[in-house]
Amino acid sequence: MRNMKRVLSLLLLQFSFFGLAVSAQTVSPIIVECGKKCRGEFSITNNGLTALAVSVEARSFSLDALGHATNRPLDPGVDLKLEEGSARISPKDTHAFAYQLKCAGPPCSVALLSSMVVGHTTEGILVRVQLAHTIYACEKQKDCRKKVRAAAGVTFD
Amino acid sequence: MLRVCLCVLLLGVPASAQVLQLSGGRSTLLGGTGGEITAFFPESTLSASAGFVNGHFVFGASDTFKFHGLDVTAGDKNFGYSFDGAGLGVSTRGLFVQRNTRHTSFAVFVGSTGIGYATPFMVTAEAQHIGAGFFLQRQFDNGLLLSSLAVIDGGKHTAVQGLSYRNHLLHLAGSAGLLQNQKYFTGEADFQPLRSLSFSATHNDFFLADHLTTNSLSAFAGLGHITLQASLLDGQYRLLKTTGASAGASLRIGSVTLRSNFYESNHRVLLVHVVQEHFRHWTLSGIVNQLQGQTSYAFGGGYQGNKIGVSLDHSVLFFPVSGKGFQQTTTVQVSLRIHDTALNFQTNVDPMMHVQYTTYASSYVQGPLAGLAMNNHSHSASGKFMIAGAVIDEHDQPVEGAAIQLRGGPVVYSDSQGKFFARVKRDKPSALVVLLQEFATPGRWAVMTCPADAAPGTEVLIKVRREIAP
Repeated sequence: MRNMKRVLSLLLLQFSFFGLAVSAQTVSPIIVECGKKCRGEFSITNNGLTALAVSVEARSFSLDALGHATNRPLDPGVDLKLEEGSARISPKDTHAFAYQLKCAGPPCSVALLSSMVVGHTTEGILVRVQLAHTIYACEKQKDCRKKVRAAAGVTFD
Repeated sequence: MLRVCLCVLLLGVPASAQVLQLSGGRSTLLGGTGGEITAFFPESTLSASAGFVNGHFVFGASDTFKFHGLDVTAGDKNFGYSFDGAGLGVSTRGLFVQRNTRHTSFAVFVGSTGIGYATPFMVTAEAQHIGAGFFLQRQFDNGLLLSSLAVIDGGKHTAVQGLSYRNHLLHLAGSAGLLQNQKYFTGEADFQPLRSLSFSATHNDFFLADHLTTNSLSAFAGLGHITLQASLLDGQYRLLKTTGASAGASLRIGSVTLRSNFYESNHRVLLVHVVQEHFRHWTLSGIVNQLQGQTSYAFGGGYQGNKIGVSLDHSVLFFPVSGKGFQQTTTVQVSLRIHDTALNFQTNVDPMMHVQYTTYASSYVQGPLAGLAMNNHSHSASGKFMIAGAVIDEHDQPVEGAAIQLRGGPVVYSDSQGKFFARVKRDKPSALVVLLQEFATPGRWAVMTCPADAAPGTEVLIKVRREIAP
């Protein structure tokens, strides 16, 4: 029985051994593709030790030939309904933000930018992190991102 | 003496720690009850655990800190490695040094080894032997991963070498050697000639009260909304050999999945048909089991939200240790988050087919050295009606990170444009409160103007001013 417990503890170990604390905030998934209408969600994980206030802003964006994105206010043809626009995320917790998107004139490229203040320097300069969840909406879901990038003249993946 | 030190540590830490993590729980799976307090300082992490395992008092403590680029732990630690899904380790009490670079992980320990209890709420070790060991893992750019673990544990020797290779078609992984003087081999091969077609073979050695060996062969194909799978399994524990075969198909139509599986083991055939529907937060399952001419029905499902998660799952598992082959099992999982406290309850079925449970709570407390601490709780909100507004300063500039609470409802924060919104269930005005202490933007703030309440469909304007800069 003791040996068995030892093995069980070893099995638990595999999940924890190399999980040394990395204090960073993460967004998942980073990119989604969908059709003209879709429901989805993305998650923000607070890997830090203090609670985090997160606000979410939606932006349309376009790409240049180098793949750089330029954000702008949401296009008139994009109808985005966020279930929540902000949240307080407890330490080591994950919060899911749900949305519904309708794209009247596909393709639509939308970035949901999650902003969070992660601290400030000793000089008082605010350190703000912005993580993007990117949605590509086309007539058909398949290869939507590829098509949007190709239309912008982006030749690499 | 050690118990006195532990008590001093437990009592002394909260006074000065930056953030404290408190955990406590009970697990029949691991046979223990106890708790842990972890104090996070800017330069180190201090941990102390205590509890009872099989009626015996156990305790553990550790201090983890950086030293010349090395991660050093003094005290109790699990020394081992995870390697493509397999894990090996030894519970140690002593000095543990680790260094991770982009391609290489290196760890070494010296101290005593023994039985350890590693649970989500308590980590302890019982010193039994003098031991030492090292671990080295190197990742190469061509997909090759080499691992090496060597431990001297009293009179027992562990020397395991591991190798893994991955490319776009093939994944091979294996580790072999001596595990506490016993021969050990674990291997896995995955071949994926097409995106929708894969084959897999595995061999595993486990050491429970005795040696358990398992082998499996499986194939998986995905054809649009249809998936097909088949597998062969065998296990040997002591003189008991158990074999099994399974095959199944599933069809996904929108949010509904239909699945039928056939399981055969010990000349016994089990048919399981499942209908499962996924909503955004909800999953509902209806299950029909057919075993030796008898039909039974079961229902499962769950809810997963930001604050609460509940699930009741039925699954078919292979039990080579008890020699019972495929068996239907039921597990329950509940997780709840209140403020910064997470509560978890989960049942598991152990290799002898006994239902065990683990329940624990974990909470974070902000110490006197902590920075921004937001004590107010938030709610997951949804509703048909929306209250929106904006927060500006005395120069009419947007204020980001302002915290606003609708009476009895959610706390919301303004974005970079100063805008915020909250969804409410009723089309009635709600009282507005500006939570100055909860602002994510540093500095001391004061409210200049704020309406007493806000009605759905209207936009409110809140004006604040910063009295003291950060």
